[in-house]
Amino acid sequence: MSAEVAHAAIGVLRSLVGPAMAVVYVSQAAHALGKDLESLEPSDADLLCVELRKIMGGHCSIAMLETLCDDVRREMTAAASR
Amino acid sequence: MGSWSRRTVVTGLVLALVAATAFFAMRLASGNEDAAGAISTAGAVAFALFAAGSAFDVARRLKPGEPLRAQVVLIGLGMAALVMGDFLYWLLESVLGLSPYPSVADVFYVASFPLLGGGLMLALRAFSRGNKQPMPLAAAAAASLLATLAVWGTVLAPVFGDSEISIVEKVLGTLYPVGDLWLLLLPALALAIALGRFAGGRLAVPWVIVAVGAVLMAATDTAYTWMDYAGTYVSGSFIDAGWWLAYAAIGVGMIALADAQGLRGGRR
Repeated sequence: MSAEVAHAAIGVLRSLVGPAMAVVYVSQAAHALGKDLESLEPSDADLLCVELRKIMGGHCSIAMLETLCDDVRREMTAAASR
Repeated sequence: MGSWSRRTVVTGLVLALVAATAFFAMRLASGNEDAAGAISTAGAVAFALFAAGSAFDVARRLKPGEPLRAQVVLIGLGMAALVMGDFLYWLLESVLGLSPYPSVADVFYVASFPLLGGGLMLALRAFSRGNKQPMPLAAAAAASLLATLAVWGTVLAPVFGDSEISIVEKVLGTLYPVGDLWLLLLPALALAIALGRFAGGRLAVPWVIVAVGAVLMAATDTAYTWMDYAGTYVSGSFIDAGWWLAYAAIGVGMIALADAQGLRGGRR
């Protein structure tokens, strides 16, 4: 899988935490799954969201995290199908 | 408007206009210390009430147990403590004709430091997760240390050497600068520095505004300490507007937080 899937997740986070931290957060979440950005797949979306919730739970409301995870899943799936 | 919601910008502009108008009225009344003092206190109470109300409104919209809620509740309680302090100070001085310092008002003023500082520290911890860097806290601690040395050399050392000042006043006189510089300035500066890496993201904007308000509050308190020691402070002085703007900034930050988190219908 190309880095397109990871970039899709990064794109969702960019408007929330800025471009620099979006890369950091998705990289850390992927690393926690034992993966790097290039090897992320749409099937990783749920677990990726679990890790993102751990990282962002302190400065993100639960409602916002739910919306964020819906967007991450949708964008990762869409990126893989392109 | 980018990361700034329309509501945040409009509220900020309206409050700036209100503060400017009240400041103009206060300066016009500067010949009458009672009138200038009344405007000063009313402004401080109104802006602190706005900030506390805005924080509790955000807390109400968050689910119990959310980490973000604890940060907001502490900020709200800190601002509510300042409202109580200002109200009691005014009651003692202007209504009852008693000395407001030291008094029960100081309990609320001093309590506001750990409450506000606690909220800021929790926010700092939240934004530091996944953003491990020692620099924010180290740089902020260095700034607080320098400011403490300056206050010690110019105010605290002479006060401690003055045998005519009571021990209660000496303790309180120390608690205020320590609270300002270590429980307010330090976490606010560290938070502002840590948020630099979140530039371009809307979640950081509310806390930048709150941190600016807290730094302004610490700076105004410290300026007041110097002016009070030098005997140059009177109610209605220029620095009174510093407290208004600091409280207003914290309130606007809370409104921005509600918008950034999508806690209101029709967000942004």
